[in-house]
Amino acid sequence: MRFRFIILSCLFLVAAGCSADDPTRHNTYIPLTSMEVTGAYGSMADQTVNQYKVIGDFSGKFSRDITTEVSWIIENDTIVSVSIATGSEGLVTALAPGETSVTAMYGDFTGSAPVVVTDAFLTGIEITPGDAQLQSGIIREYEADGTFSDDSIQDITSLATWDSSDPDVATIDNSGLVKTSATGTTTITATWQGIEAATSLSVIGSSLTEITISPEEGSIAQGTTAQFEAQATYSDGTTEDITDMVDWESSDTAVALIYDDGLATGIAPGEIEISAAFVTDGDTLSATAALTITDAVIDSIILTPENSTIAVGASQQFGATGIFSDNSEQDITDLVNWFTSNNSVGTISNSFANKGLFISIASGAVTIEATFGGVSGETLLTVE
Amino acid sequence: MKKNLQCLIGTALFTLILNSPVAAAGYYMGIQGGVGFPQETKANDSEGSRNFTYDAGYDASIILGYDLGEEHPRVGRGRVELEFNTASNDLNEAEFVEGKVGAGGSADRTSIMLNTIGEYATQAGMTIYALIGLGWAEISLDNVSIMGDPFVDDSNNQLAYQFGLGLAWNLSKHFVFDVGYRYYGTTDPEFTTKDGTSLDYEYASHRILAGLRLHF
Repeated sequence: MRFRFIILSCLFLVAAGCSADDPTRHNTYIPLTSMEVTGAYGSMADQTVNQYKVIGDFSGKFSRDITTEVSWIIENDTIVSVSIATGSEGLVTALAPGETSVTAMYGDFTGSAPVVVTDAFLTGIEITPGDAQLQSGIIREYEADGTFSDDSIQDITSLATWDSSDPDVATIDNSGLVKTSATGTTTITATWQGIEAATSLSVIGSSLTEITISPEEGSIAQGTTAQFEAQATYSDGTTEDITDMVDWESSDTAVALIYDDGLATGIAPGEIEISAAFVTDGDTLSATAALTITDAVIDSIILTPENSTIAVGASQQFGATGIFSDNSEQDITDLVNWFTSNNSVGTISNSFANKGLFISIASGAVTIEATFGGVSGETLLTVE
Repeated sequence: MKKNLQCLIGTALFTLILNSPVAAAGYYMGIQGGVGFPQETKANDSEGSRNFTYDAGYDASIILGYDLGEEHPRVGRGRVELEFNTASNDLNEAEFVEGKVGAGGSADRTSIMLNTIGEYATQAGMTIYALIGLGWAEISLDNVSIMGDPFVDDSNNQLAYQFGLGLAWNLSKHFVFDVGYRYYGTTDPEFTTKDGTSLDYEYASHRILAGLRLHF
């Protein structure tokens, strides 16, 4: 009889601990009310690629990336093409110099963005990380940035041909993914359009001992974001940023989401735990951080720099700081929508790679405005 | 009618007072009522999973059983019973990746369970029992909606199981008062939504019950 009670008590404990996993389905019951299409670059060189992203606003309740859910239309398909293949939706490839537009459709809604293909040609390639020292048995993403004849820089990682001089030390695939396997030194090269860049890679035997997250705790307002970073510490005392290599997880996705790059978005008031896990040589190391989402609402927006002056042809990066109802302050540069009062003096970018970057065209004075949550902030800019 | 009721209550009290506090072996019948708290449910379709939460709801049973009493020392004290059960809970919220929204309708349950109960009698006249049961359940999602949009109105039959713990007091040789907890679950029902897609559902509930048994 006593044995039966013990068995049943254990079953109770198991049952009481059961709760549903976090949901994986998006809410399609709240209607889309607007959408914004942006590219990683304002213009792109011929034969390069530019990832376009679509952010949908669902009745002001939430916004989310709907890039993989939209249909795409190119105004002039002799200038660019757009991918609809799974995993590369919205990737625009330049076919010839010119100007056109890309349109995304979601139900009855459409959103467009201009596409400018320049005739700039590749002049150099830079590989990152450069001259790296990595531990054996790990996987690392390498990137190749191309510099073009108009001084623009674009990511050409997926376009370049990658090679490792000593595959016994490390191998690299054509997406730039390095896998280290033995102690030694190898040379990693990236080649595109006849231009080659090289960097050395030293593989050492030290092991990963700890990972940490920074900040260890944070507080943001509902609807805003917080960037978390993960750092690895190795047995030889060296450290390394592994933010893009860990698996990020939110303890409650109804309160906050966290993306692969460590960017957390507050959904609803509450307290959650952010965790980062990293697998190496079959072992998993993890770290946690605390994040509080408040119900504070935005009161005002301050733009920096204030009342600035730049020369014709120069650019100015603006930042936006949100002041919230609980007197907290947050950098919301990437969250606001940027406007300029006169596009003939210069343009200000809303693309996710260059949010708030003003590029001047001609002399004049303009008002720069940033809006978020129905609140706006302004500053003056003079181009001389 | 009122006099009959008074007579019945008086007879019951008289029986309680005069009889010794040991329930009789043999057949019994009883009623149980209480509150059900379904667990948060995961509901899967081809686009992923959303979770449903419920309000607390009623949970009621009629039971017919046989009490082994002290007459089967090799088996020990225990009971075997058939339980006819019904329960209903209103849906409260549906949770998606983006957060929670309101949900309407109810999740209803009708089931027949065969329960076996092991008992341990204390010196103070109280009995501690553990229960395990197996049976059949019809789970109905009745006019379930999400943000007012009709979502599913369907029912499904599944294998059901439960286990529980409880306390019972022998009020007399014939009457036993019983309070208990049951964890109740079913194999996963499958429903058809209003747009014709298949919905894999989970159903499990925590039951808090009180009841009265009449031993013949």
